[in-house]
Amino acid sequence: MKIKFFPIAVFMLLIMNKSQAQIDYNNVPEVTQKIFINDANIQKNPSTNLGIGDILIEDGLIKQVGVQLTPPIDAKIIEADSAYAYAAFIDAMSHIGIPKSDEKRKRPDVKFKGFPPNKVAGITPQLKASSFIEHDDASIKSLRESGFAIAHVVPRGKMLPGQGSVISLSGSSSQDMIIKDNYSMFLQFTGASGVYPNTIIGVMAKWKDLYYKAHYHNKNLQSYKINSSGIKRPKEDKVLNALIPVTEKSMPVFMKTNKAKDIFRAIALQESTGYPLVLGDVKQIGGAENKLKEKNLTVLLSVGLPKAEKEEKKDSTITDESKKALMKRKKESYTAYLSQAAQLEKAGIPFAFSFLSSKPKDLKTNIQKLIKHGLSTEASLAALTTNPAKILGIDKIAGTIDKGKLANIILTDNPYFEKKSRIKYVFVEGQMTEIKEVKKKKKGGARGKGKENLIGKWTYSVDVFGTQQTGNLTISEDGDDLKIEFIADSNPDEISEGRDITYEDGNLTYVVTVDGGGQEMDIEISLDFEGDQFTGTASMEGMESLPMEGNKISSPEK
Amino acid sequence: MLKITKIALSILFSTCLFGQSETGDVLIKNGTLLTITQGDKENTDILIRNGKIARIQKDIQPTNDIKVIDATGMFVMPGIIDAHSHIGIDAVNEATNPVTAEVWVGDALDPYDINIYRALAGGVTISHAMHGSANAIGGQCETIKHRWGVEDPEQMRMKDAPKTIKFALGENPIRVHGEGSRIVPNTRMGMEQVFRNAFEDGKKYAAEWDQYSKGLSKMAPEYNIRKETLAGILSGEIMIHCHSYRADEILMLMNVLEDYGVNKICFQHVNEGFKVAPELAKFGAYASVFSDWWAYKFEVYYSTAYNAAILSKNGVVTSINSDSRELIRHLFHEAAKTQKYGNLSDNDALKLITFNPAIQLGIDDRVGSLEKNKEGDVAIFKNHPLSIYAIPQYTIVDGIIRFDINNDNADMRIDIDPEEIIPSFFESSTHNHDNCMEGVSEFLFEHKH
Repeated sequence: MKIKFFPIAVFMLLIMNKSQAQIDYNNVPEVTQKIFINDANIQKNPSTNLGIGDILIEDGLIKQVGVQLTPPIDAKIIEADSAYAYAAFIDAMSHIGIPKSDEKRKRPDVKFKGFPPNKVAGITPQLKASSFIEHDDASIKSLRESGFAIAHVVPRGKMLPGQGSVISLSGSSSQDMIIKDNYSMFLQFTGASGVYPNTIIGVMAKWKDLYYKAHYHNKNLQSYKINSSGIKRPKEDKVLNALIPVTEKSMPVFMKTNKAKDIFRAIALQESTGYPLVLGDVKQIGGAENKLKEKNLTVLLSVGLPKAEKEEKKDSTITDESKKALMKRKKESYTAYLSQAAQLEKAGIPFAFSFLSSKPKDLKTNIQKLIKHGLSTEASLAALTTNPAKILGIDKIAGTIDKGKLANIILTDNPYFEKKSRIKYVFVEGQMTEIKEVKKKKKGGARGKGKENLIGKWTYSVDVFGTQQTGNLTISEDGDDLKIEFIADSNPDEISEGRDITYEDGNLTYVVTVDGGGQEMDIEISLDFEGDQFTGTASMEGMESLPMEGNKISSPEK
Repeated sequence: MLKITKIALSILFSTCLFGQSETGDVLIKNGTLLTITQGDKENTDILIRNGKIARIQKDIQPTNDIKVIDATGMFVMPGIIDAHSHIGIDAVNEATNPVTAEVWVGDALDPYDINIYRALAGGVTISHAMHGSANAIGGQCETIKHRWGVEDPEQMRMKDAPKTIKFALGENPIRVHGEGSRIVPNTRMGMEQVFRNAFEDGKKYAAEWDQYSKGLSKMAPEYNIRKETLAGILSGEIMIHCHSYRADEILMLMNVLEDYGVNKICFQHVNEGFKVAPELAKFGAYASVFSDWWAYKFEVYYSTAYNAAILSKNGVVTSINSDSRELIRHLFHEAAKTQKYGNLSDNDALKLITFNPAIQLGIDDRVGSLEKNKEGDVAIFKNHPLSIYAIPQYTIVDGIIRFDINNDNADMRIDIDPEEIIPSFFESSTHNHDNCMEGVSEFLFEHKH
């Protein structure tokens, strides 16, 4: 009998071996749970450098920090060789770990546009980010390898996508990762497509409506608790229930406020009620600086920066005085954007960085630009460590290299903010990831056959119910990725950029966001290329697809 | 006593810091003053102190520090007021429902809209930034002062100006909702019912909250910002400005308002107003019209350039508006047309763009004429403003020069996109529709023109 089962046993063993072989040993917890980092140049916190010292990690915590410590006999020793140790970074707001929805967009099945179901309207404050997070999503690994140990994740969506969770970037399930669940309420000025609230004024009115609805709903629930006899029972409502902590001022509202105008609007909305407010993904502060200071508000700067004018385009050939003057103002504006962080530092307004619409891989190059425009390295480090820790209320457990805190540490071969620096190790709650040096790949990586053919300038024409809307689009290479810029003939002063670009075997897809009189609309484009022509469709939520076609005008000069 | 002083001081201090917008001092010498309410005054000076008109008389001696404008040979008039525009806001139409009383364009003011500066270049100091006409009951509007240069939208508001709301009759809401979504209103009959239903909602809501606040009901009624706004219209707290063309509908709405005890309304466009001018006057309704613009859709064919004159002569408080970022720059020309079409006097013609729109916005006690203690909003013209040769020289808001034709930079933008394409100026000059439907055509994914 035993013999009969032998082949199965062998087979089982083979499978088990195979699955074990797939485990990334970098992320396996150390057997002893003790790591000793020997001879690192320790930046305890943004303002204190210990010099060369050692760090003992035990059970995911920092057990000891000091000079010439003796390693315990059972500790794994990491020779830092004077590498630089920093507290690992904290991402103050992003969608990290939440995959983009790949659901095909369909016309929302709504009977009355003015009264859509909450889900279609983008009003789901009861949902939690943690329930969308996939612990093995590539974005988590990528953020960790950029030096981060903790992230505040908010759900994707429209006006009120749900609640943010503070997570540790390690763990084998999304539940393992949670440091704080139901931590924040995420609010954006993003209207729903084709239904109420569609515009920014609709969204702002709806927020006021929901806020006061929740306020009185809570009041009724409370008084029913005290005296329920002879009183109509207040009905439970999951949307309003979720907003009650905001009305009680116990849950902060994190908002996406890209522009100065958004900042002013967010403040105006909050002013009369006074819930804790954090302004996130800020790209432009402009004239709002004084108001931020006056209101003592917290800012999360977007790591995304405006693109600089290419050097060769500068003056030399331009003789037109008025054009020169315009270019000068544009340059000044660019400088003002890049000087914002330094100005916040000078004004004493604490800030951190958020990654809603920028990539962690751009972090260092962009911070270097900010430093070039006057930001100190101390403030830069604070914006990545101590400030977000404080904003997220986790400064007792994270943000510095101190005894008792989570063992969230990075080791870099040179001071982090220097151009040539590279992160060698990231520790997240003591779990070590060694980051191997990546050899740069050759350009034009193989992401589908015939990609080279796409590069160049194309005309396009969309058939909008019998009317042709025309323009041109430029496809270029951006590292291994493609970059798509297009200009509509009806609006030649605005370049729009495609995002979420995919390319496979002649089929290019991307998404563009267009502004239709105060409301943002996403249009999905899918194009099939053949030679110097393409055909395809442009589709928008709630609309039928529109046929689109185009021809190549020019290829780049080689 | 000390305590009181302390409190008084702190109140004073806090309003200085946050409550009020910047004001200035300026002395305008030797101009021809077109006061609107107190006749014309030649070779007269006007002194503005702390943003208010302090003195109007001959030979005011300048104090050392004050900015002096020599207006010799020029015409000094109150800042022009546009009772209907859509500049300085980021959204015009929340076109998803026939009733969206709760939305408020004042939530989305845009201090960077260059059209504010261009309006100043046409002598306009105040405009009524309105919701569009896609809905029967659209959103609330905002009366803004053209304080070009401020970046805080709060500083754009004309503080304490009465609240107003946009209503719309006729083709626009029917097209958007009836034809677009197959719901009421799909006819002009349906329009009336939308108003009546909405007012019933507001009435019921107000009664419920009244009960609650008197302690007669234990549980708070469900809060509803839309119904709350509708109740505000019925209580007279919010004044209606209604997009309208046809006489029958104008009469219809006045009947509805009478039924609900609402006695204040300003009809906008009101192209067939000339047919019902006595009825408008009897009701006490105001009219804000175009000078000579019509036939851009079917319901706007029966029109006349004599509309403003006929309405005025029938005792209706009438203004001429722009509804356009281009027309707003020469409202003085628009007013002048009433002299060709209707023989209005200079003063009556200028009233159409100053004092009368001020009445319609409920701000005539503060602006609209050159009088002592009024706000220091002034437009200074080379040549008479009703002349075809008129050119605005200075536009002053609260005593601050916000437009100066000789000294302003060529590029007066405040917010410059660091990634903009140069040259950045491009604007279509075609203009053959009213702007009340801004945002809606895109909403329907149609061409705008």
